[in-house]
Amino acid sequence: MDLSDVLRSRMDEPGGLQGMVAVSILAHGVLLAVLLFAPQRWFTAEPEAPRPVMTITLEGGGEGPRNGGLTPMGGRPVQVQAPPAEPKRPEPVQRPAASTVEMPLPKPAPKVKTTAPPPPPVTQAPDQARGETPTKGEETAPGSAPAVTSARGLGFGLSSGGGPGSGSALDVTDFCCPDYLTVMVERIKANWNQRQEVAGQALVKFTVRRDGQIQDVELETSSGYTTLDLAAQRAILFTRQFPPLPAAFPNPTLTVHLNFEYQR
Amino acid sequence: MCTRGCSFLALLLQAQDGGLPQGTSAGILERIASSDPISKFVLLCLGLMSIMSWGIILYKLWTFQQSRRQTSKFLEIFRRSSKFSEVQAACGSLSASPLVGLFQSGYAELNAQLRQTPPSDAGSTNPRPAAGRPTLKSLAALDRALLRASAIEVNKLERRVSFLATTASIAPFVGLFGTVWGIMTAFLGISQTGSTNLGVVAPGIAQALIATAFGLAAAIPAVLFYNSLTQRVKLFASEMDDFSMEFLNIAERNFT
Repeated sequence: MDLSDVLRSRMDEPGGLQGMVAVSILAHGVLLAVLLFAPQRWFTAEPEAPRPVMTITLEGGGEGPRNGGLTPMGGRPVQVQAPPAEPKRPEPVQRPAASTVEMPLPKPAPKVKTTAPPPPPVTQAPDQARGETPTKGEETAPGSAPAVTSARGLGFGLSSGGGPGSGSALDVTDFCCPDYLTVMVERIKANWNQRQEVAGQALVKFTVRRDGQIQDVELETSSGYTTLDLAAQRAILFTRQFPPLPAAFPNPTLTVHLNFEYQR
Repeated sequence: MCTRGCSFLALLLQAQDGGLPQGTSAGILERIASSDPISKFVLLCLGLMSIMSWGIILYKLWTFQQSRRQTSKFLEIFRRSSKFSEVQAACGSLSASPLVGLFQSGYAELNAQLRQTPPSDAGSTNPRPAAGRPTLKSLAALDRALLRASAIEVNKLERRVSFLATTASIAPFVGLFGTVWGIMTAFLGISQTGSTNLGVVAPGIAQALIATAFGLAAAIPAVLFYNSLTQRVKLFASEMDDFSMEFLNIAERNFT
């Protein structure tokens, strides 16, 4: 075998190129088919879910409240996402509140009002008017007469003549109810024998309890005549019972210094 | 090969001509189908380039693999046997190795020289004839024969690899041409419609950019494998040089 023959035979290319090109065509066809028939989402990016955006504005806007910051940033309102509303929890069943046992109070017995029978109609002038001639028409008589006014002074007392007594005093500085004193003085006066032969003043001290009972009747200042003093004390002792002290008066007892004035 | 390629092209064109069922086709292919003929032609060229370059890549990888395997086998036989005739007998099944070509040509040259100087009249020409031993006339001629064979083998190894280089350098330009053409037509379309809306401009430009993408897709593997294959050709060449030196040494030792 000649050298040239050997070289010529070696020039021939080994086969197989066609097969490889066929393989390449096949691969390209497969790629094309994938491009054709693959679902669209293989080639497109998935859209991201929108995220909640919190916007904070750093520039512009009005001046914030003056809170001492170095920059006006301090007072800027920042938008904050509101928290989602919590579902309402059912209310737990509460234990019943402890009930206090009511204290049975004794019911006050209803007060039976004892109404005094109406006084009999006056058909005759009272005994005090005996011997006095009824006036007929205008009459002028010399002398002094007390002018009857509805005004009542704070001073009270008893006198055998006209006018209010004087010099009586209470142990309390400001007694609330002058009406009570008036009632008291009238009751004493009804029992007082004021017709004595001498003139004088006796000061008697006594104490009225809350229920109206009288106690501790003492003679404070003597008039100088025993009869006058005794008559004064007797008037009080005979009275024995006053109406109960008014509710507005706070003290348990009321001490009264009552002046009895005898006039001729 | 041509019939297969042509049938594939026909299939491709059929697909491009709009036989696509709506909904299943990808957006890229819809765009290609709706583009103008020049863009289609550019894409067709790029597709052919890609197909050919991939075919060559696979072919070269396959042949190089075979060559390497058979070369190692051949070297084993060559170093083990003591007679060239034994090696020559084994060469028939190892023809893929480039060293086989070298050996065969060297052996042919050796035989030719030994035949020209028969041992009967060797005594007249050779001043110191070895008894019953053939001698070489020219070692340089043997070297030249080996050089020729190695050139042929390297040529064979390098053949068609240049197509990869061509693809690597041309495909991006071809794709760029398609893109420029597509953008041109897109702007012409804008001037005709008078609308600068992005919705009008964008599809044309996207369609034009497909050509560049295809060009790059064809060029990148071509560049990669061109470099790798040339590197392997260089390795084979150095291996052949090494073998020719070895062959010369053996010839000089035995036949002079």
